[in-house]
Amino acid sequence: MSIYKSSNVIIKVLEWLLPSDMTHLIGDLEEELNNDLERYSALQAYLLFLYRCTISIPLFLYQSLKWNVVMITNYIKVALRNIKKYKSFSVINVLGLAVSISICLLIILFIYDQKNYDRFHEDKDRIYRVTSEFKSSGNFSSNRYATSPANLVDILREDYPSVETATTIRRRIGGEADAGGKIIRVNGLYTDSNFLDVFSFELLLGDPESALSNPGSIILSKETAEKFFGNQDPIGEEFRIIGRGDFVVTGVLDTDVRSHLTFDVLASYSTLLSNERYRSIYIDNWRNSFYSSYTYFKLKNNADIEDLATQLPGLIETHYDATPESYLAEFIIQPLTKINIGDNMDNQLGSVMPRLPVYFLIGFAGIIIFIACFNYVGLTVARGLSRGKEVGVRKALGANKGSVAGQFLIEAILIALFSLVFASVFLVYLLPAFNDLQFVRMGLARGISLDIIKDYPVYISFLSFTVIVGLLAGLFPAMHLSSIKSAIVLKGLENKKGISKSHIRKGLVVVQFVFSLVFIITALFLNRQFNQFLNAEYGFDAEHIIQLELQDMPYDRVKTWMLSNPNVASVSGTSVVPALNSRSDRRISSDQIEYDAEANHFSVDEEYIPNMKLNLIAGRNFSADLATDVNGPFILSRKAVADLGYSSPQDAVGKYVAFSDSTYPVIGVIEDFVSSDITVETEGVMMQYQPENIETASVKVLPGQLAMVTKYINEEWDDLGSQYSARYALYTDQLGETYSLLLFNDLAQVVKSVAFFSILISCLGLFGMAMFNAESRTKEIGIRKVMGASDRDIVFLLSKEYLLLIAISVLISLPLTYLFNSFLLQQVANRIELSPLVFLVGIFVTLVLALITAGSQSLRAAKANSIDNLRFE
Amino acid sequence: MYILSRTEEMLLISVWKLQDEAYGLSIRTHFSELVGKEMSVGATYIPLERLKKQGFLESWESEPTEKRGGRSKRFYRLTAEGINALSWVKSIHDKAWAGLPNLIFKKSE
Repeated sequence: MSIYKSSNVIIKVLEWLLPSDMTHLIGDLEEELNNDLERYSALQAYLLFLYRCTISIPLFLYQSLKWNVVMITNYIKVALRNIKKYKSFSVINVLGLAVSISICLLIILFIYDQKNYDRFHEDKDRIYRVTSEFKSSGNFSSNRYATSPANLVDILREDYPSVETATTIRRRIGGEADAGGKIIRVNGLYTDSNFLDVFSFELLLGDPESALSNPGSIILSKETAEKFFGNQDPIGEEFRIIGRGDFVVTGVLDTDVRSHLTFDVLASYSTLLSNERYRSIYIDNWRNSFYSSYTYFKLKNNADIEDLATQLPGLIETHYDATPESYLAEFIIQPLTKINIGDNMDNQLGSVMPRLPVYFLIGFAGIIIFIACFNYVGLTVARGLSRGKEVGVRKALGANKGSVAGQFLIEAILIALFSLVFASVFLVYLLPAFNDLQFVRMGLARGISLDIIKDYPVYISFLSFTVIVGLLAGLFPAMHLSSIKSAIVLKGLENKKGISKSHIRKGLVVVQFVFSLVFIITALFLNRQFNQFLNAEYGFDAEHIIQLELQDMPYDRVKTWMLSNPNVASVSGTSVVPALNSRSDRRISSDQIEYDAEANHFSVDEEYIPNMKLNLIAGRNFSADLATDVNGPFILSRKAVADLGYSSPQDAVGKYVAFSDSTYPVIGVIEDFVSSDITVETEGVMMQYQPENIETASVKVLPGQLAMVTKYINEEWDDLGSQYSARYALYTDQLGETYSLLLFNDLAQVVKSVAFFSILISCLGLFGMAMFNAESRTKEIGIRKVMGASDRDIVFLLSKEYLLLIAISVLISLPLTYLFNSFLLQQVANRIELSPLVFLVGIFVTLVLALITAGSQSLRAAKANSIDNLRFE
Repeated sequence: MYILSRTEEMLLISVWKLQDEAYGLSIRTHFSELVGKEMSVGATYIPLERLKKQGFLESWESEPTEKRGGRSKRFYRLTAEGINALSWVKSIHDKAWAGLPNLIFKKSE
């Protein structure tokens, strides 16, 4: 029975494989089978049949190949002729597709580049990182950290035989390095000697066994070694990182690879362990070690990672006590190759691209490619009227539906391949703009370079993507045009089908313009929102302030030194500079509330509030004369007071607030100000008078004297006796370049380009449609003009259809845009109003662009000589 | 003049022999019987088509039949050129074989 079935299958396959004029061969086989069935047993007959088929396979394959090549060559020939014949349509299609394909190529490059991080490690499939999930009981929130306790690596090495080797990495060693007679800033990590066993970074110089064993050993990246020592052999040279200690160079590492681990130097982990004080506070106590330590391990060749994963909950129970406050809930094992592009985690190490922006980019690219495909579909279906005859003739001569569809698909793929050529050119110009985006610069160790186009998977994905786009664009026209009935077309009744065609076309135009409108209006809103951030009220006065980092200098000394310059108006100190995205959330509570509240903690001096022009609304400022003010009472912000459950600022003054195992009185309340991030809602602020915690001096300069003061700092800083160079910045500059603002600007830029490309491609399509429309109505226009219609009448006649389409698009896009933007802007603070004016501007811009493109063609048709029109064809 | 290969010669003979019944399967069966071993579809079809291209054969398709799963037969017929070629080959054969000593070895004493 199964043999019988398989013979049916074989016949089906052969039928599909062989061109239609060779079915007689299959007929022969089947006839012989039937003959054999009469003569022999069924089994014998089928076996004979199978045998015959088998020995004939080479022939069948050869024939199939030959005829398919013949067919495709013919398709390509016809397609090329059509492309040539309808030049304007081809140009419009190729341009639209090229623009959108180039955007997609960029995203493909980006994803390929990101996916290839950490692929160079020999045992990349056996390398994992342990990440941790923390839960806090108060607000039931959970946090995923890329880190894990420092001693986890020892537990893995000792208690888990399936772990071949494990290494710990601790961030962060960095600062100015003094070596080879040069002072340059470096960044690096601490790690142990297993690092080189787990990862496959190539040690160019030095001994892999001992390079990271001894305290005070340091490995330099090749680049760093060249920066400091030029072409000299750096091994054994002294390498001082100011404020961190003296090291001896024991190796040079090749870091010219794509890895999420980015560093200039690797210092030996034993350096940290040999520092008793540091060790007892930050390493031996796992709660303290947790936030900066990373554990990577390599599994044994035949071991199962699932086995290990099931043992980890037990490990937490035995080694890491659960306290109700906030506890380590889970270890999650993350494969090395899944780190980039990966889950969003706190305390990430190195450069990791989170998934969300990647999905956004893919989404945008997808929309653009659809808009371009719609162009192709619309124009091809429109042109189908003139190609209907061709289809009719083909069918009458014996072409089946499949081969006609194949013809149109090949044509679409050819157009897409042409577009790929132009897209590659556009790509060269797009790439630098993309690399300039902030999240690309922050997330990528290196920008995407065109070099990776050399990788053959990139070629293949480019080509296959293009073919897919061609298929996508060609699918509907192919199905639509191949279903034309030859009898109807050849009789000249094609116009009956034209009704549904024009509906499709109009629908496509509407969808394109809905997208374009949504993006244009969103881009306008984001732009406004960005300006709103830049000009927002921060709640303090940032004008004429220089933020000078104290580094190793005592605050008093810097203050006196700065005040000795006549151009300095006043100086105040703070532990955290507000609104630069640094957060110092601490828990506070009062008897008014059940759960702890959070507030940003600032250690300031008595000058800070007046110097920053913060507004004291109740109570008093800190006083330098009261010894009890030091390390004690709080000044809270209005929001913090509300969070703590007090009815008014006045009410809070004099109350005691619990903080870090003690209670402190509230002596004053200030008006809210932006304490960490302008793009998020106002957060509560608590201030304590702690001059010894001050890290930055906020220097208020007399108006117009900025240059004098910066010159003073540059020239005199070294005389203060600091081992570091001066680090300072103009506060207003810093505020304009915070990470969250730059990210928001990225979003605005991306949406702006999406809007630009989508309206560009949509208008291209509209242009083609208007051109086609004007052409197919040439005679009508001629007659109308002869009968006395003016140019204006004609333009109006031809344009009103598009006007209607755009009007429909506006109606559809308005609610969509409104919802989308209110969702987007819901995510940020200091929101702008969704003003109707912006909607109007967006609609107006779209309308003007659409009317120019459609109207130009209508005008051309109207201006044409009506005699020529009537002689048309 | 083009000398036919042995396979081509056999195929032309088969077509001539079968006359109105000369289509793919019958030619192949006849051919197989002649040489005494089963010939594959490819081994007959390709030379047949080649002969057709060279003008020794012409072909036409029959109406489809039930027995063949609704597929037609491709019938072949010798062209005048084909007949010429065949008779020329035969004359060469006859000439070549004429006057040869007996091929059967005499048993030596």
